[in-house]
Order: sequence, then structure tokens, then C-alpha cells
Amino acid sequence: MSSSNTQDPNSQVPNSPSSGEKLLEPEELAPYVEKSSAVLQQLDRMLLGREKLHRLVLAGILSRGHILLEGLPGVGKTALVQALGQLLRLDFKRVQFTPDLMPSDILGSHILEETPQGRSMVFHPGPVFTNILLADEINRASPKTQSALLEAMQESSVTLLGETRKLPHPFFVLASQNPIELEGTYPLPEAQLDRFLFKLNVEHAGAEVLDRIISSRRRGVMPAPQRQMSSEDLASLFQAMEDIYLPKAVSRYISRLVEASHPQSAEAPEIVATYVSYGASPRAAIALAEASRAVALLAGRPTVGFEDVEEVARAVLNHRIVLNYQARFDKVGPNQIVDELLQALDRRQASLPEGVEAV
Amino acid sequence: MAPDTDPRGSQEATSANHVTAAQKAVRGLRRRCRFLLTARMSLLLCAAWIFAWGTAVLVWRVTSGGAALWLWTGLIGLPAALVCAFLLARRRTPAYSSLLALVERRSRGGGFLVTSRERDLGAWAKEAGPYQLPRLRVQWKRPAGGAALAVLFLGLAWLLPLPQASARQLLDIDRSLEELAQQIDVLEEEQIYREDEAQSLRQQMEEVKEQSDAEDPGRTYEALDHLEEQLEQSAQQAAEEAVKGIEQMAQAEELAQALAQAAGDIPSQLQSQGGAELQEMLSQMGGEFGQMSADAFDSDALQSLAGQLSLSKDGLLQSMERLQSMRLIDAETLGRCKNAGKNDPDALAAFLSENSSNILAENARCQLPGRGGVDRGRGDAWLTFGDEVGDEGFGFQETPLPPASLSSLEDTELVGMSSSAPHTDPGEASGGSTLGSAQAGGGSAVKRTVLPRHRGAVQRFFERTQGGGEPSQQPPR
Repeated sequence: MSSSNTQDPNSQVPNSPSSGEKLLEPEELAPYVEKSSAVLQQLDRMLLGREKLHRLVLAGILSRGHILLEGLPGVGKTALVQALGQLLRLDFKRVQFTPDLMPSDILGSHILEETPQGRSMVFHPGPVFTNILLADEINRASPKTQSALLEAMQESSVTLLGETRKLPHPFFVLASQNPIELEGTYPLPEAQLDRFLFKLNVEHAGAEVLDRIISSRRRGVMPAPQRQMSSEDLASLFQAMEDIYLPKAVSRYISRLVEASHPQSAEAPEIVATYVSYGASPRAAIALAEASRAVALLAGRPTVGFEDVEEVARAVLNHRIVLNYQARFDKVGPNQIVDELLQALDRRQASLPEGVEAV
Repeated sequence: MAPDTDPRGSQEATSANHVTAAQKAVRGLRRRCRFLLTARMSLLLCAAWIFAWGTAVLVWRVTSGGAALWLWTGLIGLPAALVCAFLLARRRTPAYSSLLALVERRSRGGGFLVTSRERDLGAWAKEAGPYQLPRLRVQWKRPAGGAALAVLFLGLAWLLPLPQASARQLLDIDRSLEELAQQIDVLEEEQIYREDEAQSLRQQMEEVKEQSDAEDPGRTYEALDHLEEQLEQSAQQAAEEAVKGIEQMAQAEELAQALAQAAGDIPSQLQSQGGAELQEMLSQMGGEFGQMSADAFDSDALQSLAGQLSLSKDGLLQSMERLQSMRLIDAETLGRCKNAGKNDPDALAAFLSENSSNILAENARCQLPGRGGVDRGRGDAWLTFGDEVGDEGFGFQETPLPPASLSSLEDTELVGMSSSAPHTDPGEASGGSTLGSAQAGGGSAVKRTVLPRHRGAVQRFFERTQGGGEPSQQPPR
């Protein structure tokens, strides 16, 4: 059965601050902080040794962004997404991307069926019609299939045979890709990478974490969540996100940070001019602002600070900065570029004149 | 130099309301930053000004040879530099919001401090902070070092001893100038130079003296030589005129004395002719003597005239001797003057007495037209022509020239060179004559020997000519 929604569920939340010129009072912010902290606590309990990763993933969820998880097989990417689905009490579907996967396998297709009204083409939605879609090993699918996700990720809708169908709200794509065994894979194009809010590296857990896992988890089965968040709670968190204030100094800092990632920029440090072909897009600045708000909310603050921007800068910018071949030769990664960018802006923050420096 | 640090730096803004305290501290930090910037800019600008001032002092001292009081006006630039430094520092001082952001970021304050300028923090003001103020560190090394160098340079520019470039050493030419002045005085006294000419020369001497330079004596000595040569040329020219005048005076004196001595012994016609000659001489001399008339010359007048001429001649001689004593003319010129003044009136008087008749006759002959004078007549004598001779019966006899004994030198052939005389055979005539058909004259003919190496060429010549006609000669063997 086909359905056509013209209203974007994501647009139900107003974009302007609801509380006018006043910041959220501590008592107003406290419930949201308690809810988000509870989710984080549960995540940390279910998946051991990934506190920072969990915080960023939750920040991505609160920012209503899609997340690309990159890591070796078996490090817990799928488990993280499954845990999120359980915690948030959202519909969760998993698609294992393969080279022969077709767009209709994801988006759905029309099938001729015999109905009481006669024969008709009935739409069978694909796995994309869910709240959390785990696109496992997304780089193994063909570009045609990868691009089928473009509209879904950007517009939260699917258009087939001229009919646009809205996806459930909220809708997140949590994709994973394997940095090894790259033979027969199709690297995501820059346009699609740019649609991911974060690209997070799921690194290998340390020996202590492994010890805790094998001593407390039989067969690696993670425990069931002790507390789940309702969709209303999640919507209220989205509403609280709108009231997190971004000061002008911080927004200016974000703008300078993104601008400095371009090699042609006057503020670009030497490492950017040397190794970067293309800097981050304006979408990166928007992502930085949103993610910083989420981090501030998780920290229990109604205002965004510089440290919030620094916390999400790597995750937002590392897949949006296109490096040149010289960077590959010199083994300079995007994270190193982002770190240098932050340090360079730190030195120029106060615009202190020549000969005077702050220590 | 150790960096200057803010004594209040690194201390936490401890107050009940951390945000308010931090805002106050940031304002103080900004004032401190402006003060430090002003001090640093003052040092830099003062150093630049002092360098410029020192350069001006150095240039002035080198070019003018000493310091001047107006150079101290450079002190005015120092307060101006301070004012400029204050204005520049004011422009470059970071904005309050920038410093607020700096403190916020360094304190990781969660954005409350920067938000406090835009929104009311409300209850969050108590929870914000504490904030840690940064310390300001100023790099004093460059401005202080520059200022120290500038002051050192200015001191050196004031105190550095410079060579006395302006003390020009004058050349000692007083003695030469004194000699020239004496020579000019003599020439002016002898009326060789007019007064204005002498004054002009004296002015030139003064200029030479003023412009004389011991570093370049060549030009001075060259100018002196030029003046000296000018004086000598004037004196020499006057001496030449004096020689001529003395000679004329001596001749007139000799004639006057001779006429006076032979007054009774010569006929009156000769006497009058001598008087006319004397009159012409006096006219050529000009001056006071040119006004005299020969008709008034009797014996006493002639004696008196001779005496006057002698006095004038002696005066000229004395002038020349004076010029020679001043080394304006050489001794040879003076000798010529003296020789020009010698005469023998007694011998002339005796000659006139003895040959008076002959002289008159010869003079009469000279007066006849067409007869010329003593030898072939004077230039202005009349030309007389007699019967003309015709050219009938006369003509040039045509005589054929003998043939050339040798062919043209262009047709000769070099057969060899030797240091000895060429050997010729007089018994054989030359075969290369241009007049081949003419018979050789009775002169000697040269018989050329055909050498063996020429035989081939001669043979080919006759073989060629056999086709076109008979050879003119038998081939040589």
C-alpha cells in the first residue's frame, strides 16, 4: 500500500528558540540532561569501553544526523546500533550491503497483486522505512544502490514511480564500512559522505576492556537495557536542542574553523595549504553547530562553548576534508589536519597583535 | 630580556559571581594589553626616529664639517613618536569581545562568559566559572635592542671625529704673484697696458690666489703660467715695435746729422732731397716727429732734431732694458734694440759730400720714364715698345725620334736578381720594340740571351704563328 506524506516529521520541531532571549533555566534543562545521561549510562553498561564513542553517537542522534561508523570487523559497530535501537525503543533494520544489492532491495518496490478490488501494483516498502537503518558495509554496494540512499538521508523521503513517501520520524542511517578488504568495494562519493553528520572510527578495545567483556558476557551477548527511552522523550530532547544557545563568538569560531579548512583561505595553516585539496562544505559548519549543541546538552549546559566544538570537530570534519596525494605520500591523515586547524585558531583566537602573546 | 608578564595573570577570578568578575578582569587585561603595546610601539618608533635623526646628524656633519644647533630639533620627534605609538597601540588592541572569547576558550567555561554579553545568564551566572585569565607576554628583545642600537648610532653620529674636509690647503704662490704684480706694474708704467687692462690682470691674479688648492696644484700653476705667458707676449710685441721704432729713429737721426754736417758741401738740390727724405721718415714715425716740417730744418734745427731723436731712442732702449730686467723680454731682443740704434752719420755726410753730383745724375736717370732705375728700372716705370718681330719664315723642324731601345718596362720579364751589374750583350738589338718595322738606330742595342727555360715558350710561340703567317724571326737555338 502506498502512502504519500507531504509533511516532514523532522520539521515538526521549530527551528527558532522557543524561550526567546532567555536561556533555559537549570531546572528546565535538568530533565533533558537526566534523560540523555540515562541513555548514555545504559549504553556504557551494554557496551563496554566505548564511553567517548557512545557520547558522540548520542550527540549525532540528538542532532538528527546520520553516522558512518568505520572499523575492523568485530569491534562492535553493529552491536552499538542494535543497542541504540533497543534503548531508544525505535524500529531498527539492518541491510547487509553487497555488490548485487539493488536500490529496490532497500527502498522497496511495486508488485502486481490480486486484491479484492482487482489486480493492482502494491508498494512493498523496503528496509529503509524504519527509524534506524544499519547499512552494514555500505561501501560494498554499487554506486547505484549507494545513491538510492541520498534522498532518504537528506529529505527523509523516498520517491518511486513519481510518488514520494515520507520515512518514519525520526530516521537515522547508521552505516558501517570496513577499512580493510577494499578489493571489490565502491568508496562512497564525497557527495554522499557529506550527508553523514559524523564519521566515527570504532577502534580496537584495549586489553582491560576485553577482559571485562569476556569475564562478564557469555558469547558476547550484551545485556538488555534496564531503561528505555520513549519516542516522546526523544522528541522532547529534540525540542531541548532547539533551546541550546550558540553564542556569536562560538558561531564565529565555527565559521573560521570551516573556512580555514580551505587551502585558499587566508587563515589556513600551512598543513592545510600543503595537504588539502578541498575544504569542508557549508554543511560541515551546520553540522558542527548542531553537534556542538548536542554535546552542550549532554554536558548539561544551555550554551555552547568552544570545547564543545573542539569535541566534535574531528568527527564532523575528518570525512569532509579531501586530501591530496602529497598527504598520502607523507601519511598525513584528516584527523591530524583537524588538530592543526584547532591549534592554529587557538593561537589567533584573540587576534593579539605581533609581539604580544597570551600564555 | 625577560618577557613582561601580567602580575594579575594566571590568577583565577575569584568572586561570588565569576562571570562579572571575569568581565572586570578582562577589561583590566585589555588596558594592560594596550599599555604594553604602547610601550613596545614607542620603543620601535623611537628607535626608527633616532636612526633617522642620527643619519641626518651624520650627513650634516660630513657635508658641513660641524654640528649645528638646529640638529637638536630632532628631540621633537620623540614625543611625536610616543603619540603615534599610543594611537597605533589603541588601534591594535584586541577588542573586548575577543579577549572575552580568549578567556572563555582557555577556561573551557562552557560558553557562559561570551553568552553574558548577549543574553541574561540568570541562574547560570552562579554556576559559571571560575575563569582563568591568561598572562600577557611581550617580546621586548627586538624593540629594546633596536632602541639601544639607535641610541648608540646617534651618539656615534654626534661624537665621531670627522676629517677636516673643509680646511682646504692653499697653495703658496705669493712669490710668483708678487713677481707677476711687479711685471704688470712695469708694463702699465711703460704704457704697454692701459690702466683697465692692468686692473683686469690683477683681478685674474686674485682669482688664481683664491682658487689655488694644494690638493690640485697643477691647475694653479697652469693659470700662473698662462698669465706669465700673456705678459711676456705683450712685452715681446712691444719690444718688436720698439726695435722698429729705434731703427727708424736711428736712420732719421743719422740722416739729420749727416745733412747738418754736410750742409755747406752738398748742393741745395741734394739738401732739399735729403730734407724730403727726412720728412718722409718723420711722417712714418708719427707722433711728435710727424708734426715737424722739413722746410724749417736748417743746420741747427737738424742738430736739435737729431738730439731729440737720440733722446727718444735712448728712452725706448731704457724701457726695453727695464722689461729685460723684469725678464719680460730676453737678452737677444734687447740686443736687437741696441743694434738697431747704432748709426754712423759722419760716414754718410762724407758720402754725400763726395758723391753729390753722381747721386743727382742717377736720381735724374731714375726719373726718366722707361729707363728704370739703377739696374732695370723701377716697377712704376713706363713701358716702351719698338717694332714688333713677325713669325713668317720661322717654324719648328720636325725630327723623328729614335726608336725605343728597350720595350716598355711593363713588358719586361724578370729573369733574375743579383747584386752585381746586369750583363748585357751589346751586339744584339732588342726584339720587343714598338717600332718593329723601323730600323734600329745607331745607338747601342741590347742583345738578350734566351735562357734554356724559355725555349719551350718560344717554340710554342712560333708554332702558333706558323698557322697564321710567317714567323718574323727564326726560332732561337
